[in-house]
Amino acid sequence: MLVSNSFQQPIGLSYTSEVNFVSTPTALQIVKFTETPIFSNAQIAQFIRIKGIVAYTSDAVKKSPGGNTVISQNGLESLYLNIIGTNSKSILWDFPCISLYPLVNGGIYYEFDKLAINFTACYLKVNVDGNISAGESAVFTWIYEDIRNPKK
Amino acid sequence: MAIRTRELQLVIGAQTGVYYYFQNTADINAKTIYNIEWLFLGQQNPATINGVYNCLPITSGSVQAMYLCLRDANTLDWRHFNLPLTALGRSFSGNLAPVLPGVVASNVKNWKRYTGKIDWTTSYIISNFPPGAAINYYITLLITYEDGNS
Repeated sequence: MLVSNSFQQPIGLSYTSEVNFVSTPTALQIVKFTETPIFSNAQIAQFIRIKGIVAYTSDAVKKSPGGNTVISQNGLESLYLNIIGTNSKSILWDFPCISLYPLVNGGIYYEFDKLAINFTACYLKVNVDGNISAGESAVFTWIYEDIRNPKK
Repeated sequence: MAIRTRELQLVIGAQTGVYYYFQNTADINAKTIYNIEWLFLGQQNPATINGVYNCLPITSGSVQAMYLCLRDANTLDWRHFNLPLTALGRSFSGNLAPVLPGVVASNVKNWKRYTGKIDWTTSYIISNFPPGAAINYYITLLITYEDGNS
């Protein structure tokens, strides 16, 4: 599933989304991606394949696309990412979000082998109390391909 | 065909939550882009950018609240939506060598290249944090693109 990231592919399409923590999350709490990016539309999602994911901390971005304060590195270390496929099966199970942060990976991002995902079923799981405050957002860039036009 | 680079500068005012559109992009509009890099220029002397006087280069701190939204030249669909400008900076990409004309293929190992044909006239930057209240600031992007005129 994970492919080598020693050579990063060009990024043809990307979409940055955020998960806002309306209240202070607690350990083992699950938070879904409530924002509606283009690939949560079922008519479009069937053609979308995820090729990479980038996460950010407040050291990289101060404000989210929605204008919210971004979680700190401690906050990102407190989150697991769960990716669910279009077949409703788990693709990534409790994947540490900090691994998606290029500044701890020598500048590279994780690449995936064209995942067909059910975006609205994917979620974050909090693994510890106290590192994320109410109102903060986790920010992710989804690198993807539209199989109708793969060279795009 | 030739691979060229050019700087693209955009003035960012104090208003937040608004779209700042690019200007003077006819030479790169709808051409294949190989890379977009945000250049950190430090605090240099004020410059005149697109007719706006006394602009200062934006700081790395202020750029952390700015997002790039690029539309596809053919469909006008989003090609890169809310891409953090930080992601286009050298430090975020591991302090790697820049992409230069003629050496794109061999010099971009690990470099996160943002590609595609962009409609620059409808693309913009959104700023969620004021870079400074008293003066205009500007962002400089280094665009590497394919030019049909060699």
